[in-house]
Amino acid sequence: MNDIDSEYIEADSTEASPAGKDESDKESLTASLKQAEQSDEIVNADYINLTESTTHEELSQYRLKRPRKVVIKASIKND
Amino acid sequence: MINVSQDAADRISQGDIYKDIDYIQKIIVEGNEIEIHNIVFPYVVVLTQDCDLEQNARYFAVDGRKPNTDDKKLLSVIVCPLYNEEMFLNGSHLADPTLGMEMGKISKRKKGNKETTNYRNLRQNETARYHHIVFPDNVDISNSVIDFKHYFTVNVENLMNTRKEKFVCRIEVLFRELLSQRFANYLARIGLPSIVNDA
Repeated sequence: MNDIDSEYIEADSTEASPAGKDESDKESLTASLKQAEQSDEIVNADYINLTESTTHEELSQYRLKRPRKVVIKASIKND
Repeated sequence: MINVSQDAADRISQGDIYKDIDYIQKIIVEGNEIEIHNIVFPYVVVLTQDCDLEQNARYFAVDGRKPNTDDKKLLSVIVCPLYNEEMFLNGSHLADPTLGMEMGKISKRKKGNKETTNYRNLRQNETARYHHIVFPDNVDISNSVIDFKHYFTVNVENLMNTRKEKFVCRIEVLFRELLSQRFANYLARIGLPSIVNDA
């Protein structure tokens, strides 16, 4: 089982910028969100209220999750 | 805003919120193949009466005398899912591609940026079917709506075995009593037919 929560929008692996994010961090965040929107596994990112002051930590803590169906298949082995 | 406790305590309590809880829709067995269809709910709240949960916990207590009979044992626990408020208002809270359910929408604002009546009733818990919750900042859950129509049960022993890893927080006493009362009222509602006067 993949232990990464696929619906959890992960923060960028670089260290968080100090207060007053620089442009490169904001662009990276926007790119991550766009990628998240296009992914089938990750919830629509429209509801994240992204502003200039949103930090990576804030974004990573804002978990957007919806109920999802999981089908587990198994085969019974004959002895 | 509600008050919550983040102490998992030593038993399941009414008002406990757990994450990633499975609801088994169906199990299909064909020949040697088994399929288990689950819906995984991100957050659910326990609605079983706390006295029932307390009596059930005695059967599993490490110390103290166990009851003489299994009369007070529970088979399952009633829970209700919590939905993200923004998704709920947009009717997309069950729209994951694996479920594809389209739900009704509630507009938040009308002309002049005023709150709509429907949204105000929802927020003030005056809509019988739903319960609106605002969590404090130290809880990692955004504003949520509980839909009483979507209650289901989970196996009590299964929940007991996984509760430490799945526990998020517990709604405190007065707030959980309001939730419990509203849930009971919703289940006990009587739908009257509309009778047309032919005269």
